[in-house]
Amino acid sequence: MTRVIQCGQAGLAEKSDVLITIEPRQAGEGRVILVKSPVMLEFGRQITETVHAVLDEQAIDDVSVQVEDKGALEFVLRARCETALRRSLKECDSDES
Amino acid sequence: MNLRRTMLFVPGNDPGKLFNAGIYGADSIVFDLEDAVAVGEKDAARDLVRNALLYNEYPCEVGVRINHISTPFGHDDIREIMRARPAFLRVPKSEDPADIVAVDELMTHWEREYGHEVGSVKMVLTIETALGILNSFHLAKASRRVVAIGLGAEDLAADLETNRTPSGREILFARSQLLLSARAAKVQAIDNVYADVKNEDGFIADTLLGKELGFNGKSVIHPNQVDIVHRIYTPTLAEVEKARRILAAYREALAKKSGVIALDGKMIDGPIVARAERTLRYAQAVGLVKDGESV
Repeated sequence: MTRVIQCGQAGLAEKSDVLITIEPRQAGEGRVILVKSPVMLEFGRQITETVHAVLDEQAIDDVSVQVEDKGALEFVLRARCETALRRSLKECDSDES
Repeated sequence: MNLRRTMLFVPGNDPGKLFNAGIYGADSIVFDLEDAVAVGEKDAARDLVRNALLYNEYPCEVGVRINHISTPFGHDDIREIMRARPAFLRVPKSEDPADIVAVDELMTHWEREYGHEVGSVKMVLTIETALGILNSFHLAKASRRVVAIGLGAEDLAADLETNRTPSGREILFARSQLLLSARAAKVQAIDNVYADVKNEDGFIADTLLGKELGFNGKSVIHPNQVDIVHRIYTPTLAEVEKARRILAAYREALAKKSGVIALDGKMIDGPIVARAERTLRYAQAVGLVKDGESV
C-alpha cells in the first residue's frame, strides 16, 4: 500500500502560488487540513475540497496538510498538492506500513 | 494555414505567467519545462503545466517544451504532459533522428494509454547544435508529427565556439540551412529567440532578417515582442492589394488563353503568382481578408 512516510513540500508562499506542506500522521488518525488564505471566507471550503480530492485520488488518509495560500487558482492548488504528495510518498509493502 | 508568427515561451513553474499566457495575442504559446525550470523543481513544473493545460482555456495553440529524453526528466515529461494532450511537444537539442523516432514512439504509447487519437499531438523541434543543423532535414522528416523546426541560437553559438552578437552574423549560415531544410521537408521554420529584450532596434532588425530569409515566425521570450513580430510578419494592405491585382491579371490571362502575362509593365510568371497566393492566404489567416472573400 501507499502511505506518507516523510514531510513533503511544494510551491511558494508568494503571489498566485500556494505552499503545501504534507506530514505523516499515525495510522488511523485520519486527515487534518489547515488552510491559511486571504480568501478563506470565499474559497476556504473549495480549497479544502481540492486537497481532499487529490488525497482521495492517491488513497491517502493519515496526513496533515498545511495550505498557505497566496491567491492560487484551482489548477495551481491541485498541482502543488500533487507535487507535495509525491515528494512525501514511498511505495511500501503492506507489512512495512 | 496554421499561423505561427510568434511562439511565446512561458516559464513552466510560474503560476501567474502560465495563467496569463494567453492574453498577449501570441499565435502559439510554449510552456517551458527545460531551461526555465531549476533542476530541483522539474517535478513541480511538470505538475503545474499539466494542470494548467487541463484546467485553463487558452485562445491559441499551446505546446510544451520538454527536457531531452537523455536527461532524467524527459520520459516523465512526456508521460505526464501527454495526459493533457497539448498541441505539440517542443523537443530541445534535436540532433539525432533516432531520438525523434524514440520521442514519437513514446508519444504514441501514451496517446494509446490515455485514449487520445494517435498522432494528434505534434512536434516542433529545436535545433541548437552544429550536428543538429547538418541533420536538420532528416530530423524534420524523422516523424510525421513534426510540423515545424526552430533554431536555438544561444546553444548553437556555444557549440560553434563563438558568441552571440547583435547582428547575428555568427548564425547566418545555420539560419539559412535550417530554412532550406524546413522548406525541403515541407514543415514550418521558426526563427530564433532574441534574448536582449531591452534592445528593441536589435530585435526589429533580427526579426526583419528572419522574415526576409523566409521564416514563418519567431520564438519570443517577452510579451512586448509579440506585437513587433506580428507587425513585421503580417502583409501590409499595399502588399495584399498588389497580390490581388497579380492574381486578377493571371486569371484574366488564363481566361483569354494569353501566353504572356504582364502587370504594370512587368511580366508575371509562376513564382510571382505563387507568392501572391501565399500573401493572400496569410492575409486570410490574420483576418485582413475574410474567409470566402474572392482573392
